[in-house]
Amino acid sequence: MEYLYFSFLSLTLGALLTALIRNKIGSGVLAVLFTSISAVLLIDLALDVLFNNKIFEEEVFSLLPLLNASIFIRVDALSALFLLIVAIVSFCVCLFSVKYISSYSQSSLSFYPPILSLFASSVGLVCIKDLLFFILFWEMMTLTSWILVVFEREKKQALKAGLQYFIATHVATAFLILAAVIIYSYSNSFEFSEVYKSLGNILVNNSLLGNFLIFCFFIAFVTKAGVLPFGFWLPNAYPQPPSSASSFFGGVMSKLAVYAILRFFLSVIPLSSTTEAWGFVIAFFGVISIFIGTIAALTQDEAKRLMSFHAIGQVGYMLLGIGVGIYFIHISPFLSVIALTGGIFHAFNNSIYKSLLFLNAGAIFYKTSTTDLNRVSGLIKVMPLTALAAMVGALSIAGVPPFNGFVSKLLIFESSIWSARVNEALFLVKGAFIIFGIISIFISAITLASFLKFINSAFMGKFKEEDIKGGRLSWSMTLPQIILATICVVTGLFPSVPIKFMYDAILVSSKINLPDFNQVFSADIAGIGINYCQSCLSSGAWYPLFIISSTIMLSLIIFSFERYAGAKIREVKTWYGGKEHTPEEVIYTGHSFYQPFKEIVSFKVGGIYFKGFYPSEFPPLKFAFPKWITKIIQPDDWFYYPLANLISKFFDRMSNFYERLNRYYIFWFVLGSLLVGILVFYFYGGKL
Amino acid sequence: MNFTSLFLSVMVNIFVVLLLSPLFDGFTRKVRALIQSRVGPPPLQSYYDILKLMGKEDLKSTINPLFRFSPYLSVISIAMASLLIPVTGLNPPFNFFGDIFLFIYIITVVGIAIIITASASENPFAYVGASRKMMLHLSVEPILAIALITGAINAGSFKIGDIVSWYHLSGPNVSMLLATVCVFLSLQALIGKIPFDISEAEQEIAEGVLIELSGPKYACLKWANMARQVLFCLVFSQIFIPWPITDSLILNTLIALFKVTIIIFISTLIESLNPRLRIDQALKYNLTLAGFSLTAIFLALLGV
Amino acid sequence: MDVLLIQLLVPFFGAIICYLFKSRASGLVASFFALMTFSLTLFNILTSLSFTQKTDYQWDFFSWLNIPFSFGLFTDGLSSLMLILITLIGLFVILYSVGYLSPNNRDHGFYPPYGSYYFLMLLFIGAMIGVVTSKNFLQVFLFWEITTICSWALISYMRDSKGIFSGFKAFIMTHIGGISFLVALGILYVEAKSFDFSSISVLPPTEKFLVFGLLFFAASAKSAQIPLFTWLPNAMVAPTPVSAYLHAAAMVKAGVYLIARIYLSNPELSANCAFIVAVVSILTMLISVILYYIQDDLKSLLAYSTIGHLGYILFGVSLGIFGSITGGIGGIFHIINHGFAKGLLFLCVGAISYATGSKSINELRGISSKFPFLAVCFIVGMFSIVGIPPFSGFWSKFMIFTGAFELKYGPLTFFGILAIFESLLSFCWYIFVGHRVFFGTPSEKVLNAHKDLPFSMRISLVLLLFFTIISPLLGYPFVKVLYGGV
Repeated sequence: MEYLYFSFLSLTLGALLTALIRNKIGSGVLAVLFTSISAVLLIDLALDVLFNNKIFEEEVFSLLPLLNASIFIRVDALSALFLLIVAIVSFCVCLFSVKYISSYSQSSLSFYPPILSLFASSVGLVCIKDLLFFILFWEMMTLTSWILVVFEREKKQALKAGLQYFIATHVATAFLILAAVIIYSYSNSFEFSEVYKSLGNILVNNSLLGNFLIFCFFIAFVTKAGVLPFGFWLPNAYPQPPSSASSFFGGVMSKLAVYAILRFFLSVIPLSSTTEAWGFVIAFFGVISIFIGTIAALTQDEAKRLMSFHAIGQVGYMLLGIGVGIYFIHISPFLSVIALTGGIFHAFNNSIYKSLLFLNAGAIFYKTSTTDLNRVSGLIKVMPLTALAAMVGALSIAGVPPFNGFVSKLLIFESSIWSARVNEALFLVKGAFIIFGIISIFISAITLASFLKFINSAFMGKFKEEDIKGGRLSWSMTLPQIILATICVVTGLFPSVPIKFMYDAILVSSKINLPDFNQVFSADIAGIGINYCQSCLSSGAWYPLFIISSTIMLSLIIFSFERYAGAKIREVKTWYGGKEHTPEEVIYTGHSFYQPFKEIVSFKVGGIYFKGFYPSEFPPLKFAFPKWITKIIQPDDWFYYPLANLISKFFDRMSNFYERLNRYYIFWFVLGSLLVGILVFYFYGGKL
Repeated sequence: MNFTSLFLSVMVNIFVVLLLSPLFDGFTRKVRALIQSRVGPPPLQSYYDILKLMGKEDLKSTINPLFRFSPYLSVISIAMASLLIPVTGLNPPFNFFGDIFLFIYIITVVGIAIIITASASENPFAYVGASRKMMLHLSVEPILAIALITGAINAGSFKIGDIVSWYHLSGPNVSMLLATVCVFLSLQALIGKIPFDISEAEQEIAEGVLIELSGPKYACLKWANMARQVLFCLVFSQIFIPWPITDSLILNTLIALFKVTIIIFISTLIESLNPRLRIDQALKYNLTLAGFSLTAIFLALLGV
Repeated sequence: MDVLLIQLLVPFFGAIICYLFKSRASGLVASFFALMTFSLTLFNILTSLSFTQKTDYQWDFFSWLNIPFSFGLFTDGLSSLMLILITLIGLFVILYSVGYLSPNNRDHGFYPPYGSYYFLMLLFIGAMIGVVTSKNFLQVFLFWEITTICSWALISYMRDSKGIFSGFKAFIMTHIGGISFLVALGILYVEAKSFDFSSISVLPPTEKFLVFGLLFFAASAKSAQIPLFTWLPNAMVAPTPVSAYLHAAAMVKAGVYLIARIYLSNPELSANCAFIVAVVSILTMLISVILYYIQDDLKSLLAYSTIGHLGYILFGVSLGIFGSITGGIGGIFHIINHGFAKGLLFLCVGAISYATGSKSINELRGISSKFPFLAVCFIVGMFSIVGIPPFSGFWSKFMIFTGAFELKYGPLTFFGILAIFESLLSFCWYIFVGHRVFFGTPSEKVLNAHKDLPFSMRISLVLLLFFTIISPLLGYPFVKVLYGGV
């Protein structure tokens, strides 16, 4: 448990110390040092909690008597999973940044302190069991990430994106604050279990208010996660910071919003038959993100913007799984836990391969100073390891076996389609879930298409010598990518261990009785088999061991056949139809991929051009109060000044009247003395 | 399943899909020639072609290592996909190890292998072919997925063996019939023959994805295309028309081969008598078909 | 002689001494006296138990009033809180003025003699100390009017026509408040025969309401609530340190101090009183937010923001009168948070105008590339004001929101939602202005700016930045004691 405090302390200390050092490499090394200490401690703590099924709880500091809030730490399996993600990705990001920041002209002072504070607030967020401090860490995350988004202060785009980002998330947090204070008035405590009890009461007595509170939570988390239409800020904001920061954003920050949804819907909001409809709402918005996000991604030509749209799409997958899980949590617990496990597993997998992909984009930027897919080509020559890691990342995000994306997508597809077999659910809901499942399968192919475009444009193709600086990438930039790629492969090949962890996370954080792990999954070292209900055994399966071993045997056979045939190898130039061409003429740019499909999905509505179902620019927001309001609320002009003028005119008149002639002086004198005499007699006449 | 029958089943599947596919390709060429009033090559010609190409000079036009290895991946993945199709009985050999989604993704890997080969070859014609191949794949895959999912909903399990067993037992119902029709209408696109062989269009983009390949690599891709034909016809015939099934392994295999021959004959007829579609026409056709096939799902949901 | 009296007299004494010096030295002498005052305050606070101290003096000036009445000084949690704010910010502002009042000032060159400026500032500090340590209403009124005079003189310091007009306007408007204060004093004398803070409770209901209404009118004139708020934007023609002190940290806080004191001393005020305070403060908040959008001058923006935040404090206190302790204490906590943050913002704007000669939002762009430190100050101040955790404004605003919803009383819930909405709107406009002015490519005025700020300005900004960040920790013990006492 102390590990948590030490790691938080080391990250905060790192943030303070790197603010004092101007040298880029020096502060980078310092940041790596502190992050690695913190990562080791966090991984140790997380693995301890996950393997031994422990829960740590402790109350550190209380704000009584002012407010019944305290820093209440709780590390259970769900928090441990996300601590694991934060630890791994933060270490990789820092290691990558050491050399990477030197390709920017801005000072590293505006990079390392904010990103280390971002790590610290992420660590804090996943361990807190108290609503007030949860909001505190939530806003701190927004604050520090905003500083990173406006890293390049002179670029107009970065500023606009940062403004949109901060305002959108702050409005969402205002909803969260509103919900928190309303709940406090009923529960008189901010701690999650008290909130759970009072929310239960509110939902029973006043279900409109209860659903409004759930709505507030939903809006807050869904905006941060980047789900369309609330997450309109995301494609503008994620490409702006340096790629290592984008890697942390896309890899961890949006997943922390998913963590918040999980934590709140499992431990804070009591799920009854009235609130299960929220599962459907979550799944619905998830599917909208999946569909629009990924199709819009297909039409993008700039690598980081492409990946940001994919981040939106992938968050949709997680929400689909979680939504199906929440909907069926009372009706069919087996299906529900499979869907929730799929959702959490997808969050874990996604953080690994999304960070990896953003780091790839960063490596491309480092070498060629641009991430525009129309201008880079053939980089596999100078970055072979990066290209390999990028391929692993691309195949993982598309969900190709044997990488990790396949397993989580398998669980999500199967659970949304299996809802057809649940007899107690409504027909329309079942039909809707199946449509959601099919849309997500279709979009999986589009994800593959989009990333093949990325790989083909950036790494394959003719290599242009002129734009490259330096030789190979240094090990500090390749090692993080290799680490993340290895995790992708290992998690895909041996899914039974991670799935047990995810399952434990759900069991521990949920307050409902759910079936045991061995009833739902038959998992061993070779793979997993899935049981969807008490009696339907093993209706889904994935045993990578057998698949991989047979693939290896077959490939050995075919290779030996080819060897035996003994064809000679001769090197030639690429054939272009008989003519010699310069490299620029024969490079197939990213823009040209999938043109017919792009034309199908682009259209114009009311003056805005929708490229891939996503508007290419938003209409500018003009905001002004009507003139008459601003006139009324400034009483100077219509009240005070006229009044003052009136009064001064009156007194001027009086003084004029007084100053004319001497006889008027005598007149006033006599009048005044008469008046005083009358008054004196009136009041004191008796006494005299 | 005990180990011997598993092993035997695996061997039969790989034999049918890999080793018998050039024979079916020869059959195709003969039928096409007869329609075009030619004599045509002998039926074993495709074997001779592959063997000859394996020994021919291998032209290396790029140092990209992926160029060397991905053609083999396409053949291997088709072989792996075949292990998920039931030929010798009601259950495929790898029934216990993977389900319909694994099958769909292995089909995707076939496409990926060819696309990676194309992009590694640095030739813009290959890129055009790769881009078209991907678009075709993503428009036709939903139809297969929807059909398989219809089967899964009806059967109550995602495993291919269970679906076939259920279908064999309970006979056709409206949703499965609709799914069968949809798969049949998309079969040309799945196999990749005219009118849907847009990515290997000889006249238009100088054979597209195959342009830089020669020698063993060309042999592998040609072999992969032949095996693909047999594989998808097997999919259609074994999963969607699983009758009759006997207890004998050899008899089942022969029945499967017979059904595949009929379907290949029909497919070759369509191929010889039609022009090639443009890519946007093909896209629109497939996407419309995919949207239409959703009704099969709803019928399955209703239990019909 | 006890320390409270010395603390009160030192600034007055220092004012006279300062007036004798003519040049920059008067500034240094003034800083010395301000430092002494602050040390005395610190000594007082650290040596008192639960921040309470009392002294009584019997002077016979007013023996003809025939009531039990004495002059005296005392402190408790609320007074100590305000004392910290007044003396600390007074020290920083005087230190800052040493550098600001120089001919190099691009905005408006200041030439010696500076003696009158420091005289008035120290007088002001002394008057404010008097206001918050006074034991009864009459004494408060005495020092209240001294502050009115000082503010009139300081606003018109620059002797141009706009300055004189603004000073006069401020004087008239706050004096109207002063007259209503006097009438309230009269009623108290006649009905309750005492000037003590708790004497309002012994009045019959209608008189209680009347007296409270008159006192609230006086406080709202001083603290720029509706309807007498228009003097504050005009008062921005004063030199920026004056605005920072008077109109952010000290003078306007006198009004809210009065209401807070009434709240703390009279537990039995009627709901009507609370309702008036709530309605006026909410309306003020909304009006100030609407008027943000049409401002071009950075200082007027900050003036309207001050008006809005004083509305917050009064809203919190009204919640306390309604019965929600969290809300009342939240309002009082907001006094110190807002004071430090607003002071920082004003001094930061002053530094910008010193260096570039302009305060206009349209003319300034890209300041962070030349003065990154000023950007940090402004952003920290802005976040503290708006209520972004973990900065100071969040805690007090959160307590106010909690208090608003705690009572589950319809109109209060509505006001609470309006308050949250206002917080959002002000955040949007602040961050928009901040982006415009600080980020981006530098505009012409910024490129021609001075290269360096004077040392005294920089050090006061650094110290004030530090105190803004830790102000919740600073105010926490006082607020805890107050909570326990209520």
